[in-house]
Amino acid sequence: MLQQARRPWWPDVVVLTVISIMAAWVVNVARPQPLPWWGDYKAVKVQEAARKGLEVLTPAQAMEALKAGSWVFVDAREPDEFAAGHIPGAVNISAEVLLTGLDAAARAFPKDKPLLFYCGGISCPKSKDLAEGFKQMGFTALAVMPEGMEGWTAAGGPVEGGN
Amino acid sequence: MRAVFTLSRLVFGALFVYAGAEKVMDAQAFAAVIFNYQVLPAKMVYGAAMLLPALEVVCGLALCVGTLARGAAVVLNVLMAVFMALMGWAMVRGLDVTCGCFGGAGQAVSKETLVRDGLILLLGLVALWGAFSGGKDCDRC
Repeated sequence: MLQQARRPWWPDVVVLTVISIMAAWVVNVARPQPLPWWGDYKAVKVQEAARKGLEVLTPAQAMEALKAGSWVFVDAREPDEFAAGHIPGAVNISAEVLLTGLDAAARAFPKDKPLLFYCGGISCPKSKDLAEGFKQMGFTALAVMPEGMEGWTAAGGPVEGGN
Repeated sequence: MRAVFTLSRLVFGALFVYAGAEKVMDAQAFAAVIFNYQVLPAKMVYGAAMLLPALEVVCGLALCVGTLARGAAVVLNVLMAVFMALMGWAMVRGLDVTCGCFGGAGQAVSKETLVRDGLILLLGLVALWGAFSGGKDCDRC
């Protein structure tokens, strides 16, 4: 018996891709804050910090701040990550305190003390979240280094602790 | 054999619908995972974080219902192979990244995640075979 000729499969791929693009577009438009299709990931993350009303420092600017001694560096990562290596003189306030209560951590500093928060890298939200928590507690001089430890070490910043 | 093809098609498709839906729910976290793999330019990260999950859900659904199933099976198997290659590449480079297999949070890339994805790819190849096996599994393939 003759088998009926089958249509090619590749138009299916085209149709499915077009449907997927349309679905992704619709879902994105419906998001409370739509994501940029062609937005530089790093730049968007930096803008997020600035939108929260936080001063944004590059690793180079943070190095100047470290030399000047004008800021307290706050490492928002977990204690084991902090122990593995951190910016010299930094204090470790894990972002976990946002869940357990910021009061004790906030009492350690006067409200006008300049605090500079950092965490692992540009993808890490902990520094921004913790800084926002301090802002809500009434702190006035807050900054973040969005590029975090990755940006710091890449820029040749000194590291304390660890191996 | 028809039952095996049908089962593989349904399970493989459903896995991608689930995985894609998790990523759609938290596109920011999935964008972070893609960025951490360090294989795409920073400008393409968000686009990929939106398009890949949509492809997974749409093709997974198509495979489950048996519509455009050959194209869906090809796309999902290619995606699976690419994901495995990226995981392997991340391990070779010693990157400490979460696999992002079922959304942003989750397991770090390891031999276990690679073996698990290998088994899923095997399932996908059976589904692909079924979809191309002369329409014995689904009428509208």
